[in-house]
Amino acid sequence: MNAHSAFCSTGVLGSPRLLAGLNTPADTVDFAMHERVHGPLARFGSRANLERVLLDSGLRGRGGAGFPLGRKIASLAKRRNPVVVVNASEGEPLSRKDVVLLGRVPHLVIDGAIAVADAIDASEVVIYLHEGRPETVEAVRAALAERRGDLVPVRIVEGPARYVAGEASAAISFISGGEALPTKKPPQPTDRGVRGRPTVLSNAETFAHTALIVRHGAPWFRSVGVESDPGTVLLTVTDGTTHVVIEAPTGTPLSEVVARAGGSFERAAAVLLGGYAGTWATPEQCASLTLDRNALSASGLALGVGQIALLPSDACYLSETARISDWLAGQTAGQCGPCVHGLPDIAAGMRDIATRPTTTKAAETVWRWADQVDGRGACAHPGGVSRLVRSALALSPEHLLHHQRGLCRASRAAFPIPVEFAAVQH
Amino acid sequence: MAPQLHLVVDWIRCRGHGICAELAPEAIVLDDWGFPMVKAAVPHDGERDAQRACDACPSSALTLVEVDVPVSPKR
Repeated sequence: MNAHSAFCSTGVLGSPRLLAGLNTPADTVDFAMHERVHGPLARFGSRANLERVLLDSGLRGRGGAGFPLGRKIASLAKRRNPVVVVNASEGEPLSRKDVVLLGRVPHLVIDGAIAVADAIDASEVVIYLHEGRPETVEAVRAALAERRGDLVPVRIVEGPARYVAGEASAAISFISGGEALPTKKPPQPTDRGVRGRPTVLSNAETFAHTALIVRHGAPWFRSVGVESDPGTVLLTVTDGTTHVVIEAPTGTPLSEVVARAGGSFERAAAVLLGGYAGTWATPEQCASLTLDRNALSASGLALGVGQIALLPSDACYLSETARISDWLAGQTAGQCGPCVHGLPDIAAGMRDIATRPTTTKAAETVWRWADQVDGRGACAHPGGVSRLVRSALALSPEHLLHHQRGLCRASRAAFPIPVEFAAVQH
Repeated sequence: MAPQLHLVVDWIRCRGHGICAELAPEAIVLDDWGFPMVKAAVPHDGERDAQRACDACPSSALTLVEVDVPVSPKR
């Protein structure tokens, strides 16, 4: 099976919202089915109403940062011809939620983007995908061909298959005709985005929820989930080989999400939360966590675009971290010194720690480098590597000592290193 | 709100010349690869050095910006 195939099983805890209408793993909700399940698309009516309803709903962006979409709309510069960008350039190797959303319920994403674009009088909707997932591009193209009389024109832009190409400012640069490289902030996209125009850019899942909020209202959206981050959320649960996308209300225990996907924390050697730029956690720690962004953040954890990766018991998280940080170092945009120079050193240091006997000084040096690169760049890429590496070094002093003595025998590589993601050529 | 001076590095422009750290050592030190690590706020007596460091950067990558920092309310 192709690791990036649109075929990915799904599951739901509670009542399905985004995944309503999907019954078999091969289902795609076509336009006729979409309208039967959700009814015709409603309109927000005005920009003021869009802002009010979204603020009332409490919908927070599903791209990782969790910024409230209503506040993004409120900060949108009031100039002519704004643009709406659906960021569906899923670059997280462990995530499959964009594959599921755009491959199987594409009309929900398109509806949400059009509802926002209509209310702010946007001139166009851009769906930003990447070349590494051609089935998704094909599915969106087929979905657009099924639709008639949309209020705002929608077009697809295919970015390069590279990790940082999905970063918001890189997406805007590419859509504007430039390279898919991060740019310095400010300006924010809401002020100067695509070709200098005010731009609402958000994750595909954020727009899919918006498509339901415009139909059913803010109180309906808030009727499930936690007060500070209501609604349902899509999560990819994976062991690196099999991926299951689960829709669950926020506030659900992580263990229930994992169980619904057929996994369990007890059988895992370690758990990687939030993807390759995420944080390692112990299975014991995960057993008491819930899908609550604020509570997770207070524990120094985050789920990123909703990723829970269970490391099989015969694999080692330090070896995985070495492989992943090496790949992340190669995914630098090549623009900022601390990232260009620091990440390869961090990756080489992690490789030493994972593969041969080292002294505590090796771990201290990698830790210092991780501290140094954190937050020093045009985008958050170096900070992601810092988080991953520091959490690996801190996870288990006993296991680190085992490595320092050259005693770890786990050699299996469990998590995938995507081959279709080319490194930037210099 | 109290205005405070911050040094901001444009990471895409910065080439790691390191001149800034020589001119304003109280506000800037270099990391293991020779790129500047700036302190959050520039101390008042370090403003002139910080400005000289900005002016001397061959890549025009360093700027001194005034930011408003919320003052915690007095009890």
